[in-house]
Amino acid sequence: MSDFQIYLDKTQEVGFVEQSLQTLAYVKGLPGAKTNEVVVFETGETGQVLSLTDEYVEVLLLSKTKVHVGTRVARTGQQLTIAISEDILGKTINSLGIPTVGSAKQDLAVKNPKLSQEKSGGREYRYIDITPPGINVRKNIDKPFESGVSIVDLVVPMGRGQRELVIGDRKTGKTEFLLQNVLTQAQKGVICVYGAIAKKRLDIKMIEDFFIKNNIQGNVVVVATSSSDPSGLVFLTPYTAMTIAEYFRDRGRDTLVILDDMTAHAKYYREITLLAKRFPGRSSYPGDIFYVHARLMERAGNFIVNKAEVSITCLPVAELVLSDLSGFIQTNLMAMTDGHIYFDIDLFNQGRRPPVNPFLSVTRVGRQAQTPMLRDLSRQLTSFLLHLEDLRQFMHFGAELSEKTRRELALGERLTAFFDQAPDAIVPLNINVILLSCLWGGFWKDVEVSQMKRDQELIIADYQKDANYKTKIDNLLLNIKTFAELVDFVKQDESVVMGLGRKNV
Amino acid sequence: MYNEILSHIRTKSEAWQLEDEVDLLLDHLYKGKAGEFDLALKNDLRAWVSEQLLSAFANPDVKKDEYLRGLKEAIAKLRELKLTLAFEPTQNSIEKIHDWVRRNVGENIILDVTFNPTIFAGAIVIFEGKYRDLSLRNKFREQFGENRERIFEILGK
Repeated sequence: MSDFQIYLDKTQEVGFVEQSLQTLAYVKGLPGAKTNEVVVFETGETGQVLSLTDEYVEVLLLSKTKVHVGTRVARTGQQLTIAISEDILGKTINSLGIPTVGSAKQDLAVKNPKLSQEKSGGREYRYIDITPPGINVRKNIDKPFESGVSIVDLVVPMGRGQRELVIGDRKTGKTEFLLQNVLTQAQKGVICVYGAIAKKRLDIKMIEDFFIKNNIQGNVVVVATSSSDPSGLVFLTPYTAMTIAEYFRDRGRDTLVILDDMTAHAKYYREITLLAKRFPGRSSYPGDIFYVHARLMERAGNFIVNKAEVSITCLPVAELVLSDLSGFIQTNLMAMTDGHIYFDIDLFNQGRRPPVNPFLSVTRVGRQAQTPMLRDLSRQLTSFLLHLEDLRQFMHFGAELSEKTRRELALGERLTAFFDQAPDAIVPLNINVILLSCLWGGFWKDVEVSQMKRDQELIIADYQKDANYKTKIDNLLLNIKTFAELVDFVKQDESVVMGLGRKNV
Repeated sequence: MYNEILSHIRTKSEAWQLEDEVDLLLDHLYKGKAGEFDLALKNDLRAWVSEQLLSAFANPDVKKDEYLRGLKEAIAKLRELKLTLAFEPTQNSIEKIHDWVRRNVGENIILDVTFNPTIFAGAIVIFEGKYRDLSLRNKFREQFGENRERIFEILGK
């Protein structure tokens, strides 16, 4: 018997497609249908009830094929669920939990969505759209989140459980930054869920290849829909990504969710709602777009699970058009996240990689998760960068510069070079701090910038490979209270860096 | 207002037929030569329809255009009861079924009967989105589901 016949016998209700409009179908009948309920068509397609009117049940299609007028429809009595198990790690799935062609080693297909929380054969079926947890199960963000990107870790730090918007024009290196985050976190054992929303198939493949190349696929799940998928599937992508993160959170694993990107998600939702003849609001987006996104963002955070702290850190992405930060969706997302990292196209054109603008980037809760020393460092560094910007402006007047100003500008030049980072390279936070303190203490003031970069790369490589050196650095940072103290220490004891990195030069 | 005429409609095909007749009259209402409407009313419709409409139009307060459009709307509002049977029903059977439906379910209901011999006997009824499979095929399916082993045992003897 087909799924349709099973559900028809079970619910004893039937409907007939009266009108089929691209991704929507208007069904007559199904008197007991509820919003968000999954329905099945006799031709095998599935759909989700979007809204109910006196006459019709409005169904959002989740299949590529078109349904024809007169097709019979049955209710399932269930909301949309996906099957999740530990086996999902390393897979690329679509928003219904079905592995996409090419990466499907195990069949995780969800043909018959079952009731939420029902466990069978190691799999768990979860609703993909739930009410976000309340404040009673949340905790303050108090653990740092390491991105692996120097400028972000030092100037715009994040905390575990933070929702930090990654915002910038297209082709400014946002995806590379996200992949660096995944690489850093997956190497630490954090479960990373990459939600690729309406991406090109080629881009999805590149993301998969990055994980395989760095051998982190065991801690990563990719939830991907391409721009050729039905709008309904694309719309569900971030919900599925968040649901998978919640599954691992409930097993006590810290998770990172990337939603790349939410402006595309909003556009797809706009397409659906305009087809459904919803009243358009600003920029033709529906009135509930803020609610839809905020409800999703609220599912991330720092939670108490079985008396332990477990986090879902969320990095949603927003794409800008001509660097316009005042767009509707962009400002909405800024309002519902705990800060944003701004990828500046001007800095990108100047050759800065990553082109993170530290002055227009915001972190609302990241600093509270830092150690006092790091907070001190961050404050001094931000203050210096601001001062440097003023100096650079001042230089435009062709003013004669004092010795002190020249020194500061030289340090600024080295700092800019220090923050430059290859897209596939990650820098652990502790060695980052040590390198910065060395730079601050004048270690590389008399050498070429290229030489400084080579030295730093060697020191980073030593830190990553030499367990003793790593322990020494980690222990050192545990005992130092202020940035000035650290700078003094590295000045006095050059072996902290010179003993290793420089000797190999 | 239309109860009398609609009480003659038993099936979906009859409803379509009546709708076609109303459309024909509406077409003749404002075009063609004078008297064509009356001619069509007398000659182009089934006798009982013609009779019903003539008696309705005998009332000078009834406007033909409004009446006919109202009738079309009333036909469109008839509720449909889909019935799948294992045999091709005769007019007599349809009459009996419709009569039973009118007495037990309600007025203004028309039947949409389809023939499907694979259900063996009984009927599948769909009304206002509710689905009931009262066929013998379904009974067999239930029995096979519940007593599969026992049935095979009996068949094996």
